[in-house]
Amino acid sequence: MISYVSRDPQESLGVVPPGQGIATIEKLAINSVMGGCLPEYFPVVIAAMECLLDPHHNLNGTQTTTHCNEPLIIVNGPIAKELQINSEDGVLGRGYRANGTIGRAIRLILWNLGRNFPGEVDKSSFSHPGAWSYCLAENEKESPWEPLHVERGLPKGSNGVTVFSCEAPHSVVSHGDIEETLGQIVRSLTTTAHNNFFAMGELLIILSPRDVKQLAASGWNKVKFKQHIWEHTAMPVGLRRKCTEFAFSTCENLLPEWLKQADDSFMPLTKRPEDIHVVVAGGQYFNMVAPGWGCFGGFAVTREIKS
Amino acid sequence: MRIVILDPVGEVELGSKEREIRPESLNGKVIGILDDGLGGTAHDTLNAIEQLAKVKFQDVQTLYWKKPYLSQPSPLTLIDEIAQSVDVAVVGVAG
Repeated sequence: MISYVSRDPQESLGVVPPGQGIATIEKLAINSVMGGCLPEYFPVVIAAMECLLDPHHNLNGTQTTTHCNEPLIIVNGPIAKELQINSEDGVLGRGYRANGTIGRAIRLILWNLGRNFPGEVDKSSFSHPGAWSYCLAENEKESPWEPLHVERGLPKGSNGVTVFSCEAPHSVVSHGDIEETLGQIVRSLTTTAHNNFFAMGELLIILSPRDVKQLAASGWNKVKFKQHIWEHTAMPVGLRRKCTEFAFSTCENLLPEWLKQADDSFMPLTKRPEDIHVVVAGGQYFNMVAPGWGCFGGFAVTREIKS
Repeated sequence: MRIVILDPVGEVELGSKEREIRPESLNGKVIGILDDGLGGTAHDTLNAIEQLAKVKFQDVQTLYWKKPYLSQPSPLTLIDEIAQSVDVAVVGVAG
């Protein structure tokens, strides 16, 4: 595992909160072997850890919060096919060693180096099954839109990993035309249950190849799609006021500015359309949405995979 | 055959700091309270701690801080400021 990446075993990527275990290449390798990774997967694990250790992600927060977000690893570039990381039918399920073991390696690293034991320092009330392993590849071959890692600044043709800590995926039934698809996604997101409802932050939409092709054929690009979802998932301030004020009750300095608006005014679920992440994956039917942790952290971070 | 057993658990950088000796009494002490900033019962808990300290000990003074952002650790500058301003501190109260 270590010789595959030709790196010093004692090289440290940083410390993994909250336990502050030192993330040496050697420790990452040990946990990757325990997770069942092949050596070829190890560069992906390293890049994912670089994402998680970026302060912008706020790993200390995601490792200890009461919320249920878990890190989703999204792989882009030619390496996804080379490693047989599933991006198609059953993408978030079983059957593919790379998906299962890369996600598992990350979990073991967060466990063994970060020491976030459930019920102890890890205060997640429920967590979700993605805490065992949560990894997919984007189906770039079937997508007419710019892949996630390129949209986020990496060169075309490069290999990249994006980590976004989010809820478990929620199915969005969609068997109709574009209007039906857009409406179903909007209606799935405009619930009062998730953290974007009161604390904005970021969220993820996983589009099926069928629906993204339908959208593209009708002139929709990713920017237009995000703008549409952003505008149409806006919810009334009055509906969100009580939950938001309670959540921020002892930190008035963090109370969102939008709470100053009238109850009947509408505010989006994220600050900007760009905070809605869009990935193409899965089979031909249904789409998925996965809300984030709100403004508290778990934000998407992208890193190049260095082979 | 030689078997090498590897430890998956991360090593921790241990600082050289030793734990401060706890005061025998809080009489006449300055108590710092650091609010984590999460909602719920935190505010009531902190108020209760403050009131309890004033009832149980004499000439207690309390100073109050809030973390700048509730989901991230306190900046070291804030920790230093608290450490220089108080005799004891109550931290990590929220929820």
